[in-house]
Amino acid sequence: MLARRKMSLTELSEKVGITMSNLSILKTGKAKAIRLETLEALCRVLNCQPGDLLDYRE
Amino acid sequence: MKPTHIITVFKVLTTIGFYFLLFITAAFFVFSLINIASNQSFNTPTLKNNNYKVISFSDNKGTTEVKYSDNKQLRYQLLQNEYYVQINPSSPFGYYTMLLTFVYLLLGIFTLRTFRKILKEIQLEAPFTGKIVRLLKYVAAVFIIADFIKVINYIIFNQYLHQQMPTLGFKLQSEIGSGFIIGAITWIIVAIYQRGVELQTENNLTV
Repeated sequence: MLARRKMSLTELSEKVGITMSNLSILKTGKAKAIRLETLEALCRVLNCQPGDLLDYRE
Repeated sequence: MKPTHIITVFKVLTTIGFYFLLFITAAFFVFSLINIASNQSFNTPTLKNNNYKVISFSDNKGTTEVKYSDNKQLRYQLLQNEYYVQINPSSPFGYYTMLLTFVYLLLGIFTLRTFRKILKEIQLEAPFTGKIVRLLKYVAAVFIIADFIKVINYIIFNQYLHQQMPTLGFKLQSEIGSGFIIGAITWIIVAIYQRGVELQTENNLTV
């Protein structure tokens, strides 16, 4: 998603308003939960739907 | 009083208590060595470690008459079946009592050391940590172990008293149970605290 938009993690963290460490937690799948406002901000910045960012795995 | 101030006060108190107990243990160790080396019976300095209060259950004298204070607000009674038993410090049982006191002192040092570590670890911004859970478990275990030793000692001591003076029916005066209760309560606190650690971890990993 980031590569397609030619956006770096630093740029994303600045635009979304979350720290790099939290972005790393999200990216590595260590996050236990995500706030709706964070998801909303990510979708707004990346111009996508929540389903594009989340997927279910067993 | 702010929580940080309370923690600081406790830190100071546990540090003083810890070093005081270390000093007492060292002194007790030295006195015990003197006892063993001098091989004298009741005349060596012992820090009064081997004086024990016992009750005689075969003493028929029981209690004397009840007396009243001048304004009749208080009454008192002299108990005649209570005795102080002193163990010969240079006997095998004397060594046992020394060892037991030493074990209790070591448990006390360990508990205070653990409390110091807990107080050092506490951060009010993020109070729940796995390390504190582990340290609290140690504290709970020490309280339970100390009372368990007390129960074993109660049995051994009474057996010894019965062997030495079977006619008087001596029984050691000992408060048993408080350690088990404190240990159990601490264990419950540990379980709650552990849940706190899980919630804090979840909160930290919520983005």
